[in-house]
Amino acid sequence: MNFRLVLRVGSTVVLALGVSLLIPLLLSLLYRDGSWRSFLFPAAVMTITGAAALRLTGSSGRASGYVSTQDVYLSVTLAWTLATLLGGVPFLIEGTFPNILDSSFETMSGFTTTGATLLSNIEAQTPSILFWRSMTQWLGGIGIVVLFVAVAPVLGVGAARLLGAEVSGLTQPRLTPRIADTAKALVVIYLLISLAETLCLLAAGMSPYDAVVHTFTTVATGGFSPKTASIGFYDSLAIEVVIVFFMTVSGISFSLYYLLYTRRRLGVMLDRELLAYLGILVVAMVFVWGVLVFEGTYGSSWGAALRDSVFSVSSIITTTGYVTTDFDRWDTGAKTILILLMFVGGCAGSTAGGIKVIRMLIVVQTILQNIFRMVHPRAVTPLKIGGRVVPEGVRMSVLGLFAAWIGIFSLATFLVALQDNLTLISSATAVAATLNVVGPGLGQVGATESYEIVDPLGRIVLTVCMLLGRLEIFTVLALLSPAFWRR
Amino acid sequence: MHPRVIANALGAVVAAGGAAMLLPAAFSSLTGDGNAPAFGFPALSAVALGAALFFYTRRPDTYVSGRDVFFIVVSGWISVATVGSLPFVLSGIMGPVDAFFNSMAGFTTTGASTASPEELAPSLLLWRSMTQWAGGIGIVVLFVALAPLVGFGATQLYTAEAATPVVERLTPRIQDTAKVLTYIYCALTAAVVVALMLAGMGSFDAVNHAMTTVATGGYATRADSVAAFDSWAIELVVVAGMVLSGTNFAVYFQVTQGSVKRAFGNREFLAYIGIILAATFLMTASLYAFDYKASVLLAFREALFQSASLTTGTAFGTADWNSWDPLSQGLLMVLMAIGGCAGSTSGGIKVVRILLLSRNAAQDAFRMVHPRAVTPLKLGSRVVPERLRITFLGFFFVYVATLGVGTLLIALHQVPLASAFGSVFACLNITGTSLGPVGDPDFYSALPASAKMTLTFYMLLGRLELLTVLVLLTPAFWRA
Repeated sequence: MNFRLVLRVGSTVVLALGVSLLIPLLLSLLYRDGSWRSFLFPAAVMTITGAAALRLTGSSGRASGYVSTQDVYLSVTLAWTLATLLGGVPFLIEGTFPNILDSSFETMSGFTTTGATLLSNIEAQTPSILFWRSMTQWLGGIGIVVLFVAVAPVLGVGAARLLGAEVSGLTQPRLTPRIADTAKALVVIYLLISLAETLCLLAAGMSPYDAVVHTFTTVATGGFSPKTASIGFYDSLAIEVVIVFFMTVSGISFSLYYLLYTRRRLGVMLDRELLAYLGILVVAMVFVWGVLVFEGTYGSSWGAALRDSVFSVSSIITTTGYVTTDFDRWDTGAKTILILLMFVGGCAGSTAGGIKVIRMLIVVQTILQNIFRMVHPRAVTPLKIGGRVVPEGVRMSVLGLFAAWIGIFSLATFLVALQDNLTLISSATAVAATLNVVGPGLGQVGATESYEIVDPLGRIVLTVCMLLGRLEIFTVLALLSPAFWRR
Repeated sequence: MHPRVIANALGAVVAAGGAAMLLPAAFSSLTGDGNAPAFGFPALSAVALGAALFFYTRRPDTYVSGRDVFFIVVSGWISVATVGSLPFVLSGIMGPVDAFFNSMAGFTTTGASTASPEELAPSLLLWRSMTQWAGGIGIVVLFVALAPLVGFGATQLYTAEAATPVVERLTPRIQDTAKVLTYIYCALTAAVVVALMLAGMGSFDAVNHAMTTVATGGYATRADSVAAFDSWAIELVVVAGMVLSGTNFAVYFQVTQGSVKRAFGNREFLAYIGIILAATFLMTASLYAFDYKASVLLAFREALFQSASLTTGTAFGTADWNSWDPLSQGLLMVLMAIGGCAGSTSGGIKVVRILLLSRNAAQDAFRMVHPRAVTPLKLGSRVVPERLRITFLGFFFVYVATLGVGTLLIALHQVPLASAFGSVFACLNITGTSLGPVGDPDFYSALPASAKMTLTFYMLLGRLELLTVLVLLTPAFWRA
């Protein structure tokens, strides 16, 4: 195990957090909202500690030696855990949350871009605190994109194996520059999308503060909003259109944007997963709209029904979790669609969560092949995505991940449901909404509710679910296997 | 496809269904509950029709393909359920949709019902118990004797033989196995009848409960189910019967062939017993700790009964588990999904698949660390072929997807989400009951006709292990 690398990653996270905290600090001084103390102390300590630790663990000029997959899993899990624990410090100092459990729930929800919140009256918080809360999602989003598009393909892990990189068990130091270059390009793309959205939101009539904060959580498909009523607060068609567009854009694989950026040809966007994703999106919108109209939930206002179904469906499938309407009061058929969409999620390599569209494609294809082989037992059925044959090992890992996903979902639901005053639907959707990093569930954790009702055990379970769902389960679970720590 | 073979098999199934109906017809004329014609007419016409079809299409040495088997199995269950629904309609107590729902719940051993036992005449009670018993034996023969050779169902995980079309020379072997399985099944039923009578049950109740216990169906003769007898002895007999029937009948088959050690070294059997015991102890502790039960003994009694009853998908009631603590309720839901052993009359995903799924997950985590490791999947000391790994992982996905789609289909009928999920879960796992109002005859009878038909289809899906039914819906099946 390359512990020096792990330490370096940890130190970088601490340093990055410290530096990031300077922004809400400045904002706090600018707004004079009195929260500057909550930021100053952690910002100073983290910047200094992080910088010192980074220096101690080696000069940046030298390559950090041999990197194995174990090191990456450990680093990644450590990075998210550290960010969660330390990112919650301003909330603790400010008194937003009474204990580290609650602050960790909120920051984990931030850094994993989930958007589940324990705050029931969001407007009561100072602007800078809310700014930091949204910023954690933006930071988490970029972390995920870099991890799954730049780092993972080189190591040959996760859904990234499907994105065209050859499967290589271990990496050589010379690959590091490639990772760094890709990461740099991704950061530029991420910033460009964010900038574009901020401008659009300003044009749609949002105030600069709101525009920036909502950009953070849209591009990261996170869903934190400084308003308790979420996007429903503005009741503006223009704003909703902008947000729907950018949620959808952020649910598309960033490796496609990277290809577009490096090759400058629009043809790269003709990707099988992207087409399936857009197809599911449109079909689900029409279906939900149909149910709403057919069941008369919106009376004769078909336009309002369409508007709400388009927004809710794109918010759920990209696992953002913004709300414009209380979909809890919808017909059960429409609600069921939303729950199913949570599990589908966006494209692999995007900021969206869920199982991911490409995995769904593989699983569905496998099922059809299984059925086909019942009729033709000797048929050879290779797995193909967009005309290319995918190795059998990838199929196995996808099927395995799917099974593990459902297993964790059931186990977590079981644990959360131990709480007496939660209904089964509330606990099941709470787990679905956190494991798939969506945010709001149904019932007692629904669109207009917070997670306040969940008891401490449930909060711990849900926090773990967010991490598991964000890092696609096996990255975290591998740490628990004895083989991981054995030499 | 070989229409002649299919017609022949369907003729036999319909004739057998009709012949079985003569028994309640005789019973009805003996007790004089007035349902004799309701049984007699469909019985005679089914026997006549089935026998005519059977003898007309009879021909030696026929070739049977896998596709024929799938078609025969699915259409066989549908036609016998149709025939079996006629007495319910003709006796005038329910419409055709409800009758078909009840009849399918019988032949699939689900045990869901739209009518409470008090509303049914004794002859109808006997008939619905018989439908479960017959469905149970059909399932055992299908999955133990036939499925491994054709290549479907969980039992194929036990055989290394490649999935090939059933060739004519295999037929005698299948028939021999089927015969032995039938003896075992009858012997088990007889043993339960005797034990129940010794435990103090009347002969009518004993016969009915024995049939539905061995089939892990769960139809009872009273609204309060087994709780109506309030007897330790009866509950223990029923628990033993359910657990034995949730065991792979191949185990008993091996015992009759003289390999006792191999039979009980079966990993799945050990895991199955382990699951029931672990769940019983957890629930006993939980029920006692949360003050739901007055004494440890009472808590143990109800925990044991419910865990055996729901693992095997029988769903006899002794207690209203809706009022239990969340831990026990959650455990029972998990047990329902796991189900019993492959090749038994129970439902659910089946223990062997759960075993392999968890082993597969452990291997995935291992391969994250050692990407080049070769990790063969083992069941006992035998390696499961890789192509079966895809098959059972795929099964799990189909299970989850059908559950999701089914919930959506039922939810579209303005049924609350929890009940919509619960009813689909109950039918797919062949328990017939679930948390909340699901399981109560009033719940099922209040559903619209299309929801009832959907659930009926789900019982068939769950009973025949999904793909066997779904394959009929694909174009590839009908092509060439």
